[in-house]
Amino acid sequence: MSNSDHMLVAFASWEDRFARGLIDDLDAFPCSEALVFYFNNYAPRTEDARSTVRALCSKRGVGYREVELSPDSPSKNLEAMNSIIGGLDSDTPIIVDISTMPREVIWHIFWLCEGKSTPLKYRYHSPKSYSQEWLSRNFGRPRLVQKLSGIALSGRQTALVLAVGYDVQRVRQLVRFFEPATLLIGLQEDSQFDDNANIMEQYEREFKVTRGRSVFRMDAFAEDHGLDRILEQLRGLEEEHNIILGSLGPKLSAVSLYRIQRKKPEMGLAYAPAREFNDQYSNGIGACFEGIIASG
Amino acid sequence: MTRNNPFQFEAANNLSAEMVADFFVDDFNYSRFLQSRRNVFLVGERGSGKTMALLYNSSRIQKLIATRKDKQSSSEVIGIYVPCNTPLTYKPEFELLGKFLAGILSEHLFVLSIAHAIVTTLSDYPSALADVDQARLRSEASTILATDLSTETPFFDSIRLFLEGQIRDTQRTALSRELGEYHEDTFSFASLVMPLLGLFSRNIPALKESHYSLLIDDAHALNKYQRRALNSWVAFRDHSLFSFKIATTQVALNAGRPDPGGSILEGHDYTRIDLERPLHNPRTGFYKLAEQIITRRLRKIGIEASPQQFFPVHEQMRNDLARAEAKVEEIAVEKYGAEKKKAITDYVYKYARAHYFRERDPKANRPAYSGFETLVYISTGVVRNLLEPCYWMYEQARSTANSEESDVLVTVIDPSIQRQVILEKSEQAWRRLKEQLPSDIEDCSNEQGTQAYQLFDALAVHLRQRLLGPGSEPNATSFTISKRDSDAMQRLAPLLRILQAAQMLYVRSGPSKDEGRREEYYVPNRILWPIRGLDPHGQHARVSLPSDELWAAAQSGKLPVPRWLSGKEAGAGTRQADLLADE
Repeated sequence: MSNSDHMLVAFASWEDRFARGLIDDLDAFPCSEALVFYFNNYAPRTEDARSTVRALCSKRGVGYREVELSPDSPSKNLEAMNSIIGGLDSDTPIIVDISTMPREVIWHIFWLCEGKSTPLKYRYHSPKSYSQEWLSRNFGRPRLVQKLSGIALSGRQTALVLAVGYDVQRVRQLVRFFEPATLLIGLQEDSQFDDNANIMEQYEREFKVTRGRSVFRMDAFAEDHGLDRILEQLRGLEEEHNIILGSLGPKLSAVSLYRIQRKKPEMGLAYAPAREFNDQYSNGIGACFEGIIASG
Repeated sequence: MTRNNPFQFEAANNLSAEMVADFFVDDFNYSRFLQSRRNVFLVGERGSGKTMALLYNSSRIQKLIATRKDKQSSSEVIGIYVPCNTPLTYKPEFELLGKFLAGILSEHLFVLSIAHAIVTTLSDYPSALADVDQARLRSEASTILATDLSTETPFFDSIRLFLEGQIRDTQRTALSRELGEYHEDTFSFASLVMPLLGLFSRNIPALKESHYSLLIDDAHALNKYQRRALNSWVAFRDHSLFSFKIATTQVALNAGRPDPGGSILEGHDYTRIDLERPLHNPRTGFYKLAEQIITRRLRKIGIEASPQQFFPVHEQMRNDLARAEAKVEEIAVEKYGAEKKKAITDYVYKYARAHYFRERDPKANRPAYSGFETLVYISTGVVRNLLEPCYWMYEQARSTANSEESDVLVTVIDPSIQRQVILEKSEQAWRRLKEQLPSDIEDCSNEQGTQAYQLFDALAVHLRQRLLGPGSEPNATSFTISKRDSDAMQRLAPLLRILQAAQMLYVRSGPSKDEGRREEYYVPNRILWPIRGLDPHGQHARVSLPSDELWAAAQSGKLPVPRWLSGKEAGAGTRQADLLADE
């Protein structure tokens, strides 16, 4: 690949790992252009970080484009992303920095790029730490993700498979909404974060209670981001259930769930939008994980 | 996992057919409507028994019941269960289309799922096709469906397979790379369901007189196009062949979904049945229903005790309540004279329990909340709210018996366990109110969550002041809102909606003192009261609270002190509570 062959796609955030992560991305993969999406309701909060990245790109001779999206308009967002990504050269490899990207946007960008047979890589920068208070709240209605909503059949029960993290309330919301006959909760195995064990125990207590519910361990930070473990759990469910997959844990579980959905398009991806995020959501920047979605 | 806990409380459509048949208790107040040819809207919050009622009236369950009684199931009314809280309903791709196409595709998918439910149900009646000219039937069905039906599979199965193919193809098209792609060959209710039902009626003698009761569950989950379509079908004049029984939540109705009040008229086009029961004392329908539900659950695991025996009142509390009642009766006799029996009874009803609470040592622990009657009150008229604490009490009792053996039988729930679980659930409810509303309830901001909590916190303080104070109606825990036309009421309304959606608040309709009119009144979930030292039994009185004071309470966490406590005249808008007769 030549120096300026890549397009870098990211989602603006006030978190440290957005700007710092992009610097790392540009160091690792020299790019011709950076495309930064952001939500309009957080425009003021992400303004400084976007300016920083804009200036940095300018200094490095990297093109910079911003695109505003709305958290409450998934259709318009998809149309906007389709229009932009549709206009890109299919041969230009794309790096998607998913660190601070909402999962629905991750999935749509993956899907749109896949449709162009564009070589596609992802990068994820974990933070050094998360807020100990709250992460997100004021949730909108859960929804199935457009174009990745699966093929549901009448007469089947619903199975909800969730890769979970710290936001127990978000999990509760999805379970309450879909009222699945079968619920599988994927708990994050090990984590650098101290509170992981307590939170995972909370899930075990709350959700391993009645018929049709079970928990399993997975590791979103493993090379396959837990894909094999999840597939194991899904065995036997497909015949009798409409299966919905949700990524509420480490962002990397969004990658494995996407891969599963593409392998098994009858399964649907679900998203639970949050309207408020803690401005102290996370601190610093930690390890970087990367992988390939499509080799083009 | 405890297989033998008889108080399973999960969503009814996740129960087996056997469990539905075992657990359902027929409420004769509304079952005749569900079995009629009228359109019915069955309204109630989560856990009020809507799904259970629909499932019980579905063909599958009715057949099971008939089999158990060694009888033939009737095909006079065939209940077709159509769940709407499904991934098929939540398909979002229609949002990428213009309104016209979105409406068509939405109705298409909905209608396919109804037709699928019909033929799946009818495939349980294979004998209906005996002596039927199946070739002709297939030919006519092929015309309706615009396809050749396989002759290799039984008739109803061949239609089912076709419909499944349509459901798949419609979705596959919607999932294609083109954003605005849509399936072109669509069906509507008028082009699919009605012709199919007409076909079966004309050509299958065993189904000639059958009426199809389309049991649409969780209609609030439908998108706006599907709701509109459903309303239009409810408006059909001819109910001879089919009718709708539609289950929906009260909150959805209030928020304008599914909008039965739009183009269709209650009474004329449909009957509305409210499943939440306002009154819970032992004379009421809900108490009797609760008794039957618990009795049935107990019998299922071989327990012969009555619910009252299984959930006994704490002996000390029973004695103390009896003493309080005796004391209050003495006061009443002195006040009215021994011959005024009704006045004495009313007085004892109003003040006996309050007297018990007032006479308790302020330093004492919370009362020993226990007894089946208390559980019924705490349920606030919602079946799931009755079953859930019973479930946890049973678990606790098993754990206390220190055995995981599935055949160890719990024969009574010790009052100390009842008290413990009730207080835990009460505390959990307040924690949820304080911390979880913005995450649990759609469109609840953090600020609104705080306001909702503060409102109820202030209300709890106010009610406790009433309970312990010398004023009248000390045990009232429901309220009406005055000054409903004010700005404050407009600001308050979203909080009330949030509290209702969270099932912390139930809105009921009852008689007003105002010229025999009816008024809306509010009943907080009674599980909130035990941890605040209040009496979940309450009484049949409603506190009238002005909207501006309630809005101020939502901001500040305080309601004005009742006037008999402050010794001052009440502020504008405060008026005495009314004692209203039982309905």
